[in-house]
Amino acid sequence: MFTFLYFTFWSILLLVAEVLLRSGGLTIPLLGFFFAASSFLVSPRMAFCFALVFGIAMDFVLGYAIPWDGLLLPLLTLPSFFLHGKHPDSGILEFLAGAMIPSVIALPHIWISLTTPEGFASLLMSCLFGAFLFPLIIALVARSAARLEIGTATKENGGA
Amino acid sequence: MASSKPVRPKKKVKVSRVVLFAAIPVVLAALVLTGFFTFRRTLARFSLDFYYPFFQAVKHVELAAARQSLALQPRHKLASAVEQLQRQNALLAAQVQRLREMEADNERLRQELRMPRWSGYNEVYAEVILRDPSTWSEQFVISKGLNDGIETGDLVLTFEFAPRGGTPSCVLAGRVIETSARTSVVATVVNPACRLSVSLAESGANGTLTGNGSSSMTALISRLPLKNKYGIGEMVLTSGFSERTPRGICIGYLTDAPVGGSRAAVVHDGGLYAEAWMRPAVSLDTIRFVIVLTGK
Repeated sequence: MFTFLYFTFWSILLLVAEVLLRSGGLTIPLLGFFFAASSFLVSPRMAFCFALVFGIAMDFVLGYAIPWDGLLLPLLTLPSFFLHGKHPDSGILEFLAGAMIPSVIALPHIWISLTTPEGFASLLMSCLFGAFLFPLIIALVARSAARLEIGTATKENGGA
Repeated sequence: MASSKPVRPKKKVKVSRVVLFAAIPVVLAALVLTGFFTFRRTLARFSLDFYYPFFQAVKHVELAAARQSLALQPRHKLASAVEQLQRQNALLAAQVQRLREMEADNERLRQELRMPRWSGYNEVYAEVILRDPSTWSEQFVISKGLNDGIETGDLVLTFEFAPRGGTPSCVLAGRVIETSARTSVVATVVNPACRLSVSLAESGANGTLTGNGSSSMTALISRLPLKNKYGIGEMVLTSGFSERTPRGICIGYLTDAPVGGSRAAVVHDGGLYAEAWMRPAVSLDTIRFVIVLTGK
């Protein structure tokens, strides 16, 4: 129950932040970062379900007929199922993953608008922001989950 | 003695059974599709309404900051702006008075000719609250919805400010494609989801306008008659054939084909009709406020 509330709180907050950033012309997949990080650090199944629901919600908020984010956000949580909750504790890897996530999320947007140079510039900007933002979000999720004593990392250490 | 095999009567497959078997998948498919679209619409409306207070709160803060920053302007600048607005108001008031008289005349003539009464439109003023970078010029979300009488298919207008403080004119920005209780999604005239019946100002020809996407920032007008001559720069207006669409609102101007700029504005579509490209009359990237025309 506590994990559910944790996911609900962060998902609502980050969706608002991401949509507002998009309205300002900046595509930074905050929800994507959160679900990717929380799938390793908190709960892969719940991260997958929330990614599906909030991805679709974001598409509808922005008025898309096809729920692209609803299809692509859950993809970011899939690696955690194969790696069974083990996450590599490497700064460079986090940096690289942060740069990669926006390109996964931006796949349909690339298809829609990369014909123009503005689309390509926007994608590069997102990758750059993502590279620096993703390690920060991992740290934030890890710390908050540890404080609340939820998640896989806590369970491994014998926590709740 | 020849043994005669008993002839089995051929089984007649009942037509009603075949029809039944064919109908079941069709009905099932229709039910699944209806369910999907209903679910999609319900979830879309719920999402838009659930997040509305969050987005609106941010817009309120933005507006308050803009108002406060206005107070930082020098007094002489503010005074000249007020003077200019008063002049514009006076001009608009005169125009409104003239239009009221014309409306009354129109009503009287319709009664004399026993024509159906024209219901007219309500204007709903709204603000653009959300946009997405990948569809920046193609669609946006506005701050009014079903509660304000907006319905899917309503026309969305924006203003084109005349130079040197003249009266602004309204031009068509797009059409409402999705509504929730407090917000609406608008597809601009370059969005392929926006289709309109249009007429050309000089040649008087009618055609169908379909958005061509934000990469070219144009819309395609198809089904134009071949006999007319069309020139680059000719004004494109709403035709008024639909009840929701008033006649004569400017949408844009004919322009070169987006692919191969040297081509003429008009090409022939299979020898039966002509096609032409249109560029919008306003910059769709910078729209902040709109007026939605709703039925009375």
